[in-house]
Amino acid sequence: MGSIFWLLLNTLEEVGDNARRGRLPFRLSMLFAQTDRTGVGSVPLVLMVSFFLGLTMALLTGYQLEKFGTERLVPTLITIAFTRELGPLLTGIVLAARIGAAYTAELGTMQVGEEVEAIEAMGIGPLRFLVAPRLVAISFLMPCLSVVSCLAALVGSSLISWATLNLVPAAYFDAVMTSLVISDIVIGLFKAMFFGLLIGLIACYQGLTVTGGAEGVGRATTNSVVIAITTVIGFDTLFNIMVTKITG
Amino acid sequence: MSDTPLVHLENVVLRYGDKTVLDGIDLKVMPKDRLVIVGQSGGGKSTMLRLILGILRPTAGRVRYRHVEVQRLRRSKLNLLRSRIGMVYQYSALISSMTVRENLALPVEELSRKSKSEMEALIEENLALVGMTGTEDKMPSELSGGMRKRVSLARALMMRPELILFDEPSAGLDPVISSVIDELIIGLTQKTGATSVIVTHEMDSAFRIASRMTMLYQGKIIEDGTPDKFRNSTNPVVHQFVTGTTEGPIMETPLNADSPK
Repeated sequence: MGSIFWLLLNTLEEVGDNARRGRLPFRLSMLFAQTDRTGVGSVPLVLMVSFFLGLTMALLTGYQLEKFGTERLVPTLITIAFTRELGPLLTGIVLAARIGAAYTAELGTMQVGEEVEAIEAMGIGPLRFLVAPRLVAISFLMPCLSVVSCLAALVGSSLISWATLNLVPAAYFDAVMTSLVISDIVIGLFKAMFFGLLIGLIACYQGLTVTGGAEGVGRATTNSVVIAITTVIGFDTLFNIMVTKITG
Repeated sequence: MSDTPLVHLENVVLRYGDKTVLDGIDLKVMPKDRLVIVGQSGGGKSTMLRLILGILRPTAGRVRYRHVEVQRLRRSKLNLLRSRIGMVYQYSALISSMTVRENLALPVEELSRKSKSEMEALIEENLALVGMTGTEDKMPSELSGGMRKRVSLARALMMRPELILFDEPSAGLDPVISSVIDELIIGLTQKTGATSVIVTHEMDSAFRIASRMTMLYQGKIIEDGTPDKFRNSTNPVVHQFVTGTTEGPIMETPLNADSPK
């Protein structure tokens, strides 16, 4: 954790140095390229995973709640679960695997090929040039993808509820609207942004510290995914304990 | 010629753990020098280039660029200094996801305020200097090793550096292309008036390029002087290295100093 904190501080310092010289903190074209692959490129996977998870959750909980005649609680359960918890968590896991791995492999290959050192040797800060646009892209797109995840899960769960519990979509989404709480949405979006920053930092750090050629890149990529997923789940648990303590 | 060295390594010691790579190096690079550093593979030659660039910090001693102590510079000042130095890497180190044009434009776009037309003219001029006109839109993967090295040289010239560092410029190239690169180094440094430091262990190349040579052995400088002084050296290590014979004091104990990463 200390290393990624230093990476963040050094990146901010390089970005700040450039801004003080009256220049853009980093290349906008780099930011747009990263935004496109991180955000737009991840939409299909996030949609699919969330749709099927929402569907399965509604199926299983509906089946159980039906025994007590409380199956109408399914929309509420899915809404709270996804806006506050599963949307950011699921998106985090998907992005750690899809984008975190890509960041590490790219930067690792550049590190092995002396490209990162060449950028440094030219006097262009490699952190502001390579790391900053990736961090900004993943941090700001995680909340957007988390919203996509919630919507997909609600659609999936409403369809299965319609098919198995005779809960028509109009009634389902009425229940969803009454269950939505602003604080849950805000907490969910904040968590998503924080998870995005964590995944980006871990992936970039692993990539920039690669040693040992192609094998090293492979090892770092695996480490990046494992560490990012574990850290996201760990911080999510910590976050939930804190929020529960604070809000009672 | 000015008496103030452009670069001065003062009693530089560099250790990785208990391994001493450079052991009290004292070396002055004078303006307009074409200094070739020779020595065994893994003997710490490339490490010296990284010390000059401030990428590595010495364990003891000082690296001065003109009157400035490199390792004391803040990051922003260090980057400013680096922009006045060009570096050509052993394996070119072109950004693989960028075209030749984008690679050349990179330092100019990031570090100067030149207009697009000025930059295009500079790219054209530098590619012509290294004989690579017409390759602007090619990716580095589409170029041969020699062509990549020439593009890397063109990139190093983009900021009109006063010092150019070459790390094994002829490594992995056939003798003809190797000679072409050597001629380019001589021609370009004369034309631009830049000082150059070239690291190599290929003696043909070294004698062709050098205006001055220095030899690194077991972390110390054991010979420094003109190419003629090297040819006629009575030092048995230098003599064995120059002639390339297997009989002599040089043992097969590379320090692997160039791969600290």
